[in-house]
Amino acid sequence: MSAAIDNYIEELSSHLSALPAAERQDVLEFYREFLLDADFRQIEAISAELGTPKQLARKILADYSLTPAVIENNQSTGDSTKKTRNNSSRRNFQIMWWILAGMFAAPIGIPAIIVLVALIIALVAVVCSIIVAIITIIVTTFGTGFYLIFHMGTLLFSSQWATACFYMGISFICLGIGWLTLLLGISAVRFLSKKGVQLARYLGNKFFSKHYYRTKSNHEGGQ
Amino acid sequence: MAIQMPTRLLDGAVLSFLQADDLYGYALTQRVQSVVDVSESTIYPVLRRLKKDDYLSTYDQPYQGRNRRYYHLTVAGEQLLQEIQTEWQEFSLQINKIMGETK
Repeated sequence: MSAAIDNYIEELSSHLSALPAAERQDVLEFYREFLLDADFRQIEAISAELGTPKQLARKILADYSLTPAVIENNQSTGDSTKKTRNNSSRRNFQIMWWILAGMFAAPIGIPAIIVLVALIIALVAVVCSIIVAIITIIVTTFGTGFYLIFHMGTLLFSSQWATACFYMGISFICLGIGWLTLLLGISAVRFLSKKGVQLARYLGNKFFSKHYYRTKSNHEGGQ
Repeated sequence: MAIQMPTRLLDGAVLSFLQADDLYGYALTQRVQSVVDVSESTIYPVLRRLKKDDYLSTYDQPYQGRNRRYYHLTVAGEQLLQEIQTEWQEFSLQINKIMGETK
């Protein structure tokens, strides 16, 4: 067994650690067998055929992210539903990242990359500003609410009942708004991550059907 | 060549080779590459997807102290192949009307 093949597969494996074990095993076995059959002796020769382990790993991960069933199966193995829901947001962001990384690994022109980067920056900016706005609302409403409750306490001791009642009302309103925003914010993040994955999958499918199944000559860089 | 192989036809090509013979990854890749210019990393995603949708099944056979995984066309795979063949016949017929058949 060639050491070059072992090294290549080992490095490929290290880039695929995020995949479910069974899937990783399957793809690694496929490429190990492929390389043994092709009888490569040098790692340079392997990279010329398949790309570097990192490039190949990106293609593999992007491909997994585009096929929903595999990811969904993996999610349903979570023991408690709450845990699964929490994981799903994180998982969604991971899927988006895989698709994007896969896009960058594909041999595309500079203009396409610029458009892609601009699009991503714009999307990230929008999402971030929404999240910042939500956090600001939560912090200010909770802050004001608790401050007024504290203030009300001191007013009660000085027997200014009317003002105390007024502050109490305001503080409850603030806390209520804060709480509602918190709940809305959580579902908004969940919603955005779900839509984000759908968008990424849609773009990914468009993109990869055009660039992924590339010809060998293009794959090697000679447009 | 500016015309690229669509995924659907790539599926068809893979299914078609497997209808003739059960093949292992490298042999299949070689055959596909003998007909169309696709990169090596293109074949695994196709096989994985077709297998996931039960168009293919696999079995292992020992070879020189290791295993080779053979891909086998299922009944559903044969049906899909027929579908793709029909689609292609109709499509190529229409395009040939415009482009004109050679000779």
